[in-house]
Amino acid sequence: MILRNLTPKNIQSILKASSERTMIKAETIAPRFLVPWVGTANVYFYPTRSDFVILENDKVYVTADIYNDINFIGFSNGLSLDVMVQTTSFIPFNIRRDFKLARYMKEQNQLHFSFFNLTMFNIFVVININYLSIATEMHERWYKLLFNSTMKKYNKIINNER
Amino acid sequence: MPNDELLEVAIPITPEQLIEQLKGAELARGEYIFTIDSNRVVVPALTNVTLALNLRPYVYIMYKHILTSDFYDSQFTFLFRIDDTKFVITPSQVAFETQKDLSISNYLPGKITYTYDFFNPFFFDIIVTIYIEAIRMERNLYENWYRLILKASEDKLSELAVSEGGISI
Repeated sequence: MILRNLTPKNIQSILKASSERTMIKAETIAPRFLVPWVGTANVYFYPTRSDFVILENDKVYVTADIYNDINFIGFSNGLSLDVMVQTTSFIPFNIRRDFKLARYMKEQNQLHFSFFNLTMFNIFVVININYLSIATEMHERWYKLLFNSTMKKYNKIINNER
Repeated sequence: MPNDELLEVAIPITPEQLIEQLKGAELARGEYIFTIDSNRVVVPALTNVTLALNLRPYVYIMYKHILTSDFYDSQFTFLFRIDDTKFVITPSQVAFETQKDLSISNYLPGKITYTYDFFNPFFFDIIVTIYIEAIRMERNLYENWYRLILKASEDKLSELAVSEGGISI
């Protein structure tokens, strides 16, 4: 049988169903933070241990106990808001906000949220993250290699076209 | 023309494809069933409650796993683990400020218990509903069909990784 359709979604789905694998973890975290009145809060997240790498298929959403048009939120998939920006401007926090937890850069296990509270009362926010993570060794020596192989095939196609 | 030439099955075959195949073929009728389970738990004021769902003797392959409540607040929290402490889904307390989709579809089939710990810091009772959509499969079908097909995919993927200098899982 020939291997076809090696997409992250397919491979992650198979890994999730492997019943005794401790090198794969599907986890949910939802801590809450205070954003003080007329203030800001910067939250840096390392949702998983350093020996695990987050895969990309899961979601992030942020809720608040009070929503308002004059509160704002920014999110980046990296250490600072100018690297790996996912919200290109600060967006109004007037409803639950969903983000894509996209892992498309090496060693990008950090998430950074910035909150601006321009109201006269304290606001509690909850950062919900559902993620699938994989042991670093397995990521380096199994998962990534599958896509390296596919990339080689693509390169062959490009060479033939030239 | 023989079937082998007309039809090719490509791998990896995913859990989603297997479930669709079961639906289409109707061969294993009776050995699996689509179930909806809804458990209601009262978390009394200022207490912690632990609820354990025993999934024996079937294998449950989860679709949806949603927790709802009649009161939401970020100080009301819960923890969730599978098979006691072996598989911890929530490494820290999860704020229950909105409906929670635990995003564990197809994860770890064949486990025995789901355990929830709720922490209610308020002066009133809270009612939580745990909504589960799943496929309940007989262990025989799971061990001798579902698991084997998935293993074939795992093995083939490992073969590719090893050919690139990697490891087998």
